[in-house]
Amino acid sequence: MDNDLGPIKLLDDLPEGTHKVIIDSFEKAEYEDYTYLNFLLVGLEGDSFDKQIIHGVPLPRNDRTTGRSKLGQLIKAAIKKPKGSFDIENHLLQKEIMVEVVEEGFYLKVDRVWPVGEEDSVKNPKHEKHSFGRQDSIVKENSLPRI
Amino acid sequence: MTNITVLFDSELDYLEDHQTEALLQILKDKYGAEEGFIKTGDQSFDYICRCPVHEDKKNPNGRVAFSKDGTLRLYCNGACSSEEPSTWFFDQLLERLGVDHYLLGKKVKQNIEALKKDVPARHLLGQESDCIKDSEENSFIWPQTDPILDPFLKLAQRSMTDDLKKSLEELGYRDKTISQAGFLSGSLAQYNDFPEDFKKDLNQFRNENKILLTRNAFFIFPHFNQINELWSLTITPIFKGQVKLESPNRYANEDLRKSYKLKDSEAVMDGLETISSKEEEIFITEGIKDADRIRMWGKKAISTLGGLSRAQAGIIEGFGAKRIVIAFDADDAGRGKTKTAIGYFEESFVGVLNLPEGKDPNDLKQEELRTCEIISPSEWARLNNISLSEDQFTKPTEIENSKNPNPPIFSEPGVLTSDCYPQEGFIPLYLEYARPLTEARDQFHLATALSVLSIAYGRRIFISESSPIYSNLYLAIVGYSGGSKKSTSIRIGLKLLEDIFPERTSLANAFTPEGLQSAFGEFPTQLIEIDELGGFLGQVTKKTFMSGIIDILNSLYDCPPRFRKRRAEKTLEFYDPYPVVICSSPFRWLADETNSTLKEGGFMARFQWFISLDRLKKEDLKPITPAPNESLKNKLLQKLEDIRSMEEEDQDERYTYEDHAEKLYCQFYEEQKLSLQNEHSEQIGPHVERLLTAVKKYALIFQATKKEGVVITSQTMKEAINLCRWLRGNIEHLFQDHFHESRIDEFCHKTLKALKQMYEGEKRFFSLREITQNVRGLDSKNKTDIIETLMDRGLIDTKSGSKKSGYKENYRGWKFRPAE
Repeated sequence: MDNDLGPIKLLDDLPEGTHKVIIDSFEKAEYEDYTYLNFLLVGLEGDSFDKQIIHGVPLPRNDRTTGRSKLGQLIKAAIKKPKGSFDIENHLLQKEIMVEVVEEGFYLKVDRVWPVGEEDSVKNPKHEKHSFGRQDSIVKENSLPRI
Repeated sequence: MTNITVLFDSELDYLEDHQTEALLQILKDKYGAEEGFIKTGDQSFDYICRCPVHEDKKNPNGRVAFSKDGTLRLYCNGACSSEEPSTWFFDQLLERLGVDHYLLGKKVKQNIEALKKDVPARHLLGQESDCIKDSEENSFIWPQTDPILDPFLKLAQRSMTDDLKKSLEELGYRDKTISQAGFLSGSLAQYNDFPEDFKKDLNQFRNENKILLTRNAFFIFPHFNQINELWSLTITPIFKGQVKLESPNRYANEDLRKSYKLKDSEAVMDGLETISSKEEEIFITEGIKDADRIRMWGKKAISTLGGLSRAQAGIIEGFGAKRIVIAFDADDAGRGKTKTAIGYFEESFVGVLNLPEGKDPNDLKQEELRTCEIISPSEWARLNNISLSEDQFTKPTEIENSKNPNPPIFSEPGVLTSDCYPQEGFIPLYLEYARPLTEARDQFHLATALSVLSIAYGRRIFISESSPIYSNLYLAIVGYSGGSKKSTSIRIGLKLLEDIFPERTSLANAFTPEGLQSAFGEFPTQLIEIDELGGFLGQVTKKTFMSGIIDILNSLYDCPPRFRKRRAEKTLEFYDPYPVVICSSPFRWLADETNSTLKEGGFMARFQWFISLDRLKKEDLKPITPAPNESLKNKLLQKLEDIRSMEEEDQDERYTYEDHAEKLYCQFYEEQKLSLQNEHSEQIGPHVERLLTAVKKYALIFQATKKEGVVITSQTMKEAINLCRWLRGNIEHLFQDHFHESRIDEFCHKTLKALKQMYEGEKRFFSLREITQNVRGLDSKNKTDIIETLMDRGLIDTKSGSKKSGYKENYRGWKFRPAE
């Protein structure tokens, strides 16, 4: 087995603020009863260029979603007027979206996502964190710890 | 990367974006095109509507509120209130109604502009933070109004003439009150035009309110609740000289009271509909005319229709006004009522309108009223030479903090005082966070907070004794069936825990020993949540797949470094287990399932019992609960994150005792041990033994949350001891009232309790028939055994009845009372 893994490239975190990013890749993670999709978002412009953040969204149990779930919001940000079935890998990856990164405790997290070119001045109340009424809201959204 | 496909439900998405309009469309489909929302001034919801779930009659029972994120919630006050749940979020409501998203979405899209116009402005919009406060403080559920009231009032209003209105004005009533008032002369002819059903209801109504049966004439004044629903009526007899009546024999004689409230209307007040949640100051008066006079002064006023009752005080306090001004009459009776009213509020929150001697607000002209000062209760008491007792004001902490120099072995169950837990750190913050979210009592929240902390700290904190004492706990929340919100209170804490320690909450309700092995094998620190302890005990004894669970949980309680148990098919083995159990149960189910084997096996003794004996009061009700306070939630999550960081930094904390703390514990230990010297102690002994260890565990958790070093202070030990005294009281209560060795024991206890209550009311002997009527389950089959057992134990005195053969055996003619 080849142990030479080559040089390791360390990417910095996306800082707090608004950034244009590309959905680079995702990983599926099982966490107790929940399945997460951890999307790697990479900055495209200015100071955020090549910086990254992981945006974890829970996968709905019944594989159906709407714009009130985190995954639905991501889909709406990446695809104009979404409708019907989407294959995450083929439809979401390499799409450009806007994100707002905020600091929460010791972590940086993606607070909001919206389509590139759309107005972001009015904060969408849907994106407010709440803790009842929806199944996926009980799952914590994680990102890379800030170093 | 894996291939994942999701379906984006664009129809539901559209409906979710237009939730209010979608609900309106549903209502129009169900009740007709004219159907709509009624805007309210209430601070806990935005609209009233007919319930979309059941067939609502004319009186709308639906209440619509919105979460902070805009999610619509519908609560039904009517037929659905017995349904579980009776509050639905938007998606749940669609599911409950079985709505076709496509069809509804299509209709809403077609009518969107018209629907938008039909939706009234939301008065709570943008006031979410206030909304939380309001709902927290004013969650009174207005009782269902009697359907007869509305037609009865209309009947009375139709009989009002201009002359009568003029007379009312002369009597001091103002326009608004006059416009709503009615008149009844007591003539049966007035009722003839009404349908038979109505007449039948009306006669019943008159029978319930006897004053209406006399041949007097009355003014009828309606009272509305804050959401402007007719709530009750005041009936005021007309005396000679007030109004000129056609038939002079209709005047009330002087023996009659000046006014009557309807039956069951202690909490009713006049003018509630004029009060919003944003008032700075609210005046309270005795009479309607007085309130009218204060309103003319430009102030907000409510009439309590006599003195202030506790129920009324609760409603008034719920408005959240900065100041309550008592403007009761300045006569002896009024001063007595003022003194009582002061006692219902906090001193800093209340003022008294200093009226001239012998006057009430309506006696004064506007200019005179303006010159009256609003003074503090103590100043009012000084001026009127009235003493306000030390505990006159509602200051729970002061009352709770009064220390008894010789503390009893245990305190009364039910009342959890604030000296039973730290006043800083996670616990008080958690109580503040959880209280508004449910109707549950503090003890339930405290138990949940302790379980959260216990599982969060895990093996990271311990007291260094011969063998380490860890902070793991088995906790049970027990209350009366339904409504005490046992499971809800647990869920609040577990939601926080799931955010930070999701891997520690994988076991719930039913699980096999193998499931336990798998969970503890993967993560040795595990919280076991049991929704219904009674049901769990039933399953453990009846289901084979769960056999052996109790033994395992008993062994795990001591947190051994290695657990190993050989079973028929597989050996269970795992290392460093740290279990915490949190469960809830109603008294009855628990008592039914707790058989003697389980009690003696020590499983139940490992639990600490957080019980609530009091039933909910009106002022405790929270029909629509606010969204959680995000700021408090974040603080709590941060505190849990801090605990988590101990894990990440592999940091252990070894605790010791301060000298005085050790002395306090030794005193408590001695006092508790010495109290177990009688027959009764055989039952509660194992519970008290575990409680003595639990003191250390609580002290450990309390000290750790305070972050004041690794020495347990005397203050912390006092808090833990106080908590355990309260828990000891709970154990006593459970054994006295709920856990019985046999059915006979249980019935003996019930019978004696009922007999004592009857004897307190009437000091006499009671027949067996009278006793049987008051004890559920006591029947001809068991009553002889029960009576004889009570007689054998010397717990009742008897008076022999007939000596005829055949009578003595079943104690016919015998009479009983509790033994002296």
